[in-house]
Amino acid sequence: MNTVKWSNGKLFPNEDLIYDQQAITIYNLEEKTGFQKGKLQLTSHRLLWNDHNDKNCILEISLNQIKNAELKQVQNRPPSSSTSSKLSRQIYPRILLNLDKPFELSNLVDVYGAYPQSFVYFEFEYGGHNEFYQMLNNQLTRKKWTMSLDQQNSLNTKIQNIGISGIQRQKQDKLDQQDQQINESFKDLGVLMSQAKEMVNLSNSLISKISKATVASTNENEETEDIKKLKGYFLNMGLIDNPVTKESSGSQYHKALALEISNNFTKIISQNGGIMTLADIYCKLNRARGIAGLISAEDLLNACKQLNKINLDLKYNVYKDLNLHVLEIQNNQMNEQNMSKISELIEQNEYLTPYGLSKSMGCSLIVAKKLLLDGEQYGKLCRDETNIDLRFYKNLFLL
Amino acid sequence: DLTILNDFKSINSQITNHLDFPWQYNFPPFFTLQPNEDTKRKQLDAWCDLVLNYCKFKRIYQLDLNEAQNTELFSNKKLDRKCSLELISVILDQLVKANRAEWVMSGEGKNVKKTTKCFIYWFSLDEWAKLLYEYVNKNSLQNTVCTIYELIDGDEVRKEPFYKLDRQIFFKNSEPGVKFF
Repeated sequence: MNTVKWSNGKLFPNEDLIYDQQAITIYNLEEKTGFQKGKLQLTSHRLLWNDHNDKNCILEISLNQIKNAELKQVQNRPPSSSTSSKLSRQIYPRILLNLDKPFELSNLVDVYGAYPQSFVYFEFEYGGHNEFYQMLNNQLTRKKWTMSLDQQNSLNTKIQNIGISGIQRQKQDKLDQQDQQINESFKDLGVLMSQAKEMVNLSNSLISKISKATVASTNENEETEDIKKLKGYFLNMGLIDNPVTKESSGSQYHKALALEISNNFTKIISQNGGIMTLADIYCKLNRARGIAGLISAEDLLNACKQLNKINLDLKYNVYKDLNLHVLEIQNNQMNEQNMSKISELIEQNEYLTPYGLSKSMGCSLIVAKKLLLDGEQYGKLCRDETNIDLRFYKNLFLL
Repeated sequence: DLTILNDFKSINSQITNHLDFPWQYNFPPFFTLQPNEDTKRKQLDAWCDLVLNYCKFKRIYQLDLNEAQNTELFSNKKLDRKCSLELISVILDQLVKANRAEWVMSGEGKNVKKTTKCFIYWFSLDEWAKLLYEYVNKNSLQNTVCTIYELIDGDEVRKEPFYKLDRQIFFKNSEPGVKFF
């Protein structure tokens, strides 16, 4: 029996659709097959490939025949002698399946005939390979196809199985139910991911443009200013190119991370009152680094501690009374700027609440509160505490 | 600060004057105890002046911590602000420190306890004593016997500042030369 075979595309009774991805081309080693840009579906039992023109053209591979799967990231393709490579074509990421037995696509279609192989490639033109790979591995380790058989067996012997085995069966049922719920929630995630994909593509192309531009215009200061500005916008949107990783920097990881934080956040923080909570930094940084470069809270904390040793503009500070961890730019000019801004706002509204300040300065609530408390400490402000809120007035007592 | 009044004629006119609340009374932060020490000092100074002036104007000799909270002294209806009990007791403590007030004690010996009441000395005890002594001198009452009623409730003293003086305060008087029987 061939491992890759025709299918009617219908799901088994207990088979669940997990994930799908568009624009998948099947490769037989380096040779493109006739199966191009179709939809690849992952179910709990099988991989289904649907041709996007011919509805009846569906291939299937049972998951139990897959030995393992590998993710092949984009890399430079060695110059091939085949005729098709004369046109310089972009290489997309691929997933390689290592199958139990060799298969012959020539059995199925005779256009691009090839030798028997136990490998098959799926090329992901629109991306989404990381997620797909993860989902596939999940299903391969879960082995739902074997479980469903057990379940059927247990259902047949239901009446005899009372007592301990009955309890076990109940537990098994519960597990299955949970499993299904998880699968369904992942399905929702899949939709979200496919929608976000376009945005990711756009951002990736913009990043590549930036890096090209920086290479091209290293001498012209004006343009690099623009690039810096653009990078700032990107960070706000959530993109850092080439995030520092443990692999890339080894034992200097936290120092390198501190440098990355300093490079990317100094400007943003100085524009937002010169102070930002660690929680906000954590969110922004992780958003900017993207899924592949997520860092832990502990790493961030260690990096922040390193930050103080490197002696840059940015300082890590803890305000114990507010239980507030922040990165801040420490200079008096910043404080004066904030104070003048606060007094300006107070002139307009007679008083100011932390909420009002956080709204008009674009900083978090606790930071706004901290700034107002600072103002109180300097004797510039005084407080009016009511049941409703905490207001700060110009300190008329000391005038 | 309250000055010792040597000119007795001005006393009555001062008392009947219209009471002007200070500007702080219409400033909401006045009703919240300020954490900043410098600010707090200024705030409490203003409060002490206000309490003394108010009590003098209304001829109040004792303030009860709990009752006072809802009087116009400590609550501004227009602003919808009211002093917390904590703030009031801080103000009263401040007055005690300045010898302008004294907590009323209850019990005896080891069981003496602070009550929620407080004497307010808009004239200090010494000032009261002097006022009484001046009156006695002026009317040549030295070495005579007067009843307490005569001295503080009688028609004779209707125009004196110590008319209807709180009796407890009267008995605290320590001016030598006045003897009680």
